[in-house]
Amino acid sequence: MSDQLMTSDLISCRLAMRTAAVAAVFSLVIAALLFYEFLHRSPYWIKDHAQTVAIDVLKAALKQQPDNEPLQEEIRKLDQQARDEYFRQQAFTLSGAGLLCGGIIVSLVAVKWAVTLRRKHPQPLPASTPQDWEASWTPAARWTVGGLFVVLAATATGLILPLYGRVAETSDATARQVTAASEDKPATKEPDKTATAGKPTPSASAPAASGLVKATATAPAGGMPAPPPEKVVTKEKVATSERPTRERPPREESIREERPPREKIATNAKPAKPEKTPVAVDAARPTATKVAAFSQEELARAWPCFRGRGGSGISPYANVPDDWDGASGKNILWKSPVPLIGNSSPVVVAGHIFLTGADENKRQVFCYDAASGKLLWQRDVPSTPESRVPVKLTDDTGYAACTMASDGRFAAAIFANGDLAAYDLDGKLAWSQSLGIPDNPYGHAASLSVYKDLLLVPFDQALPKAARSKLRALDIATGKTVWERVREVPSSWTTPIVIHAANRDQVVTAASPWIIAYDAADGKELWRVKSKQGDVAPSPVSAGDCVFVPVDANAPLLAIRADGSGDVTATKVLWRGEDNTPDICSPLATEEFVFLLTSEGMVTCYDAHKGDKLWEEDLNEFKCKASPSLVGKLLYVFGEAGKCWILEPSRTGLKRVRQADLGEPCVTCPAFQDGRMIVRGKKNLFCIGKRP
Amino acid sequence: MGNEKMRKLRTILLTAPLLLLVAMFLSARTVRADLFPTPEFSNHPIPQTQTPAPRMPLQDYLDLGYLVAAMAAASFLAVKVRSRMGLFLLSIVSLAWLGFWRKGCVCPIGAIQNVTQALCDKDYAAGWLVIAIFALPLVFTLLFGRTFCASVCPLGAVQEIVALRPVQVPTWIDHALGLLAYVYLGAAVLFAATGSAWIICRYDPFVGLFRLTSSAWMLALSGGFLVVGLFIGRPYCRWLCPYGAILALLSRVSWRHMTIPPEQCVQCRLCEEACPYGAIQRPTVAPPPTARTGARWRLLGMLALAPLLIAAATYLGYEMRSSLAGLHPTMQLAQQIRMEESGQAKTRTDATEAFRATGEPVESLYERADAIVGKFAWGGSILGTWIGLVFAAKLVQLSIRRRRVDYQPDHGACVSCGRCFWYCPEEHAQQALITLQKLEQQENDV
Repeated sequence: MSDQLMTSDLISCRLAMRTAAVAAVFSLVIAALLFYEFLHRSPYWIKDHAQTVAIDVLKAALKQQPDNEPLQEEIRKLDQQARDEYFRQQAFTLSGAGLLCGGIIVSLVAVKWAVTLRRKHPQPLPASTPQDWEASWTPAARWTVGGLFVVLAATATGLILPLYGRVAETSDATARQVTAASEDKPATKEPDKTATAGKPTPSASAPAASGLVKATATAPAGGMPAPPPEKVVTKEKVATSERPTRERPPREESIREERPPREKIATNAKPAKPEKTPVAVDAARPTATKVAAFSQEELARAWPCFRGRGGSGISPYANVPDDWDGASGKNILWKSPVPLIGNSSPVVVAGHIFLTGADENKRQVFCYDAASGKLLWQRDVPSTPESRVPVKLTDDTGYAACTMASDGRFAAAIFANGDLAAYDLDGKLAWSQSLGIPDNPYGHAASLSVYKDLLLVPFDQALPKAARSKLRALDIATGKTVWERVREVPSSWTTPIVIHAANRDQVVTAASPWIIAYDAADGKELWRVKSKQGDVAPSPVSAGDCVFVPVDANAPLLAIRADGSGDVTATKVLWRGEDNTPDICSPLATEEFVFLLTSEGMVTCYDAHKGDKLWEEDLNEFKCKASPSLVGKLLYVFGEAGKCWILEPSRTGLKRVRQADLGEPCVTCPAFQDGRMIVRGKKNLFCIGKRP
Repeated sequence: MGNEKMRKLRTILLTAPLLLLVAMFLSARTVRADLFPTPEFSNHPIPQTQTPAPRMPLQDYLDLGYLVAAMAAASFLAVKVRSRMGLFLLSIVSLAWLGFWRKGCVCPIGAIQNVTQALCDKDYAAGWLVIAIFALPLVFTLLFGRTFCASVCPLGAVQEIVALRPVQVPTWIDHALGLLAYVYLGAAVLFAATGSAWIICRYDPFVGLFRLTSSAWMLALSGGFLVVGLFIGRPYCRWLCPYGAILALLSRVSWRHMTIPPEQCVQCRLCEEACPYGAIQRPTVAPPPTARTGARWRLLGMLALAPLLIAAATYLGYEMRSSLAGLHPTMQLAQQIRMEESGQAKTRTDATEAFRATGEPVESLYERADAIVGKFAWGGSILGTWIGLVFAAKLVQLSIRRRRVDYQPDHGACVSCGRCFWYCPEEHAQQALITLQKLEQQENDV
């Protein structure tokens, strides 16, 4: 019986092996055929196929003779052949794969059958004593399990750690994008939400610029160490010129009028809403060490830099009086003397008004209470022995021509000798630097800007080949350089603006001959446009995704779409306005219009989309140095003498509403608060608002 | 044919499948992303795209019916009849039906994700068939052990077939590698719960084989598993299968389970090397008194270590939230958008173009991505806790000595394949008894 079984098993085993052999040979043949097919089928077979070459040639010919029917038929025939070949190969491969699979399976099953039939019983040696089997492997198993846990933990750590190196940079940049853009929205899309009951809504044409929100950043992007303050001062002569600049005449002493204390504007007392942790698409969420001091409501109310958010000159409030008289005090809520002369415009944040004043010997920062006009504090800005050297500059410019900038926590100021300092709202010095005396023929007049917690410091000087012009972004809290860009431009006097266009936060600068936009977060150059050479004093403005740059009185106004990359001179300049481009005053742009104001009082209006000049109006020898402002639908144009034209522009023309008089010369741009306008005259700081 | 020639022929035939698999990999269709270019004539008729008709409900009933019937048959064959041949043939049928005919989908392994997402996403509903496919093997496992793995799962079936010369993997390695299945299970549940990805399906090593087409690297993975499976029994089942991890837990408390001897083990030791999957547990001896104190301290140490392991793993899981979230399509889109906007990516992708065409602000996308990272903060922590718990439990288990007098299958690891039946002399005796009885009956009839 057992012999019969053994013989039967042997026969079965032989049968199984033969079956396996046949199946294996069959599979080999199929595999060889498929392999051959694979080798002769290139990845883009249709392009290498001879027919395809012919098809391409015929198609090219068809373009020349689109109505050639025989040609079309020939192409169709070749195309059909190519398609047939393609699907034939597909079917061949599918069939072959199926057959190959079947052959392999049969072969495997047969071999398995044979192995099973040939298997033998184990013959373990008798154990003399019972063995502790578990003790032989459980210690090794425990160690192996522990080792595996360590490997997994190390893998996890390896995935986490590199991300931390990019966390701050990623989160910083993303946070700036997220918070800046998200906080732009209330200003642009939901302006009503910033108003409380009884208060008018902000102007609907508030700019879409960001730059006032403080990101929850743990470290500056890229972790760039702050360079030491530039203390080397060049004693080159500042070339004088007959060309007029922004005239900032020295202030005279005046009597401060006592005003009853007014209800304080909401300050920064509300604890900051912790910001959402940024996207960090590739990084873990950083631990927030800074808390935004500005809420969205406060951001909308602030006037944090030259001509307000985005440098637009557009008031977020429409309830500002359009009539006042400095001599009689009509609608003058308070008037406070400014201790030192200066041509910088006021900035207003968190109920504080900041100004600078300077002469040959000292540079000071002043802080006023916005409600009462009381001088809260004044500070001497630190300097170095090198920066105390008298700077040659024009009287029009002065030592304190640059407007300050604030992010709501700190206010920074820069002066003509390159001294730069930042103070907190209480007047405590946060940091100071000396950038060196700039090589600037008229004196440094480019104002500071802010983008979230970055202080943007334009410092154009000398000639392009000297490569001394720079745009710096400093951490406003510490003064550390976050990013810095060398610019191939000579001296300029424009203030960079921060805009949000084409889904990017951009810093737009204007100089000769380049208008350059940088990524606000990291300073990467985004686009540039070449303009004409000239002395560039008017700052750019923006509306929507467009930037309007007047460059120079002898150069056209350029309307640039800010969504390009690289040199976009040929592609993104939408139109050019040739008439009445200003030499000093910055333009003002809305979604519909672009207003230009020359220093001789010529007001010109362009269609913002098409670039058509709609009208021009001569204000009759109305000399201006201050850039125009927009309050609701009214243009406010301050003349050097202190008079202010209130104008109502429309598509068809300009209506002169009235003329108000400050009572003293004025060359600065006003700041706007809820129902108030802060104006710096030659001697005094005024607060204009409706008296109860 | 002499033994030497038989051995050579067997060697050749064993290596032939290796070559064939290589050839199969080279020859199988790799999907080309480029579509066949359409003609450029304006008057050329472009055929309309046709979509296949939906699956008939009858087919679902048939599949479910087969599943139930196959599991019932496997349980019967493993527990009652104890037929290795029956189990093997059933696994071939399952491979053909559930593998090649159904193309490996829907399977209970992937159904983990369906069920998870249905529980966590209110906008997703798993069909009744999917739920049944997920639940029925669990029920049968609770009743009869891992009979689903024995002969019904197509992935197990293909590995069972190719296990021609399996070698014994050292037990200590086997126990450690077996934990990877729990890690995989946790990760699969996390990604399914967050709607990120169905990684079980995405990285199914055999689906390309079942569908006869896949990407090159997936086919390579299939081939790799099959080649490894020639010499190491069921590598995917033992060390990676997330569903097997669940079945292993349930099988430990099953009502009935396959045994090695039909009745009583006689400790003959013939089955020590029988199981290629290392699922046979040998009898243990009581430790010497000198070792007991050390064993107790070791157990206490593992118990004390357990919360530390769990805490460490939880922390790491939390910190990995961003890495884990990177698998989510929204996160990937946000990352790509950011790279494009920062200039790191020079060209735009179809996904980012499509996103921009929707008009949705980028900030909204970033906020959604931010919310996803928040989800993964929780999910990663839970995953870490799970992994820590698994490792801690294993260390404690390895520190507990259990008294065994017989050779018995490890209920968690045993896939009820029945290979050990043949090695048991009691099994032979029982069959021989049956055969002798038949002979006696025939003799009496005559």
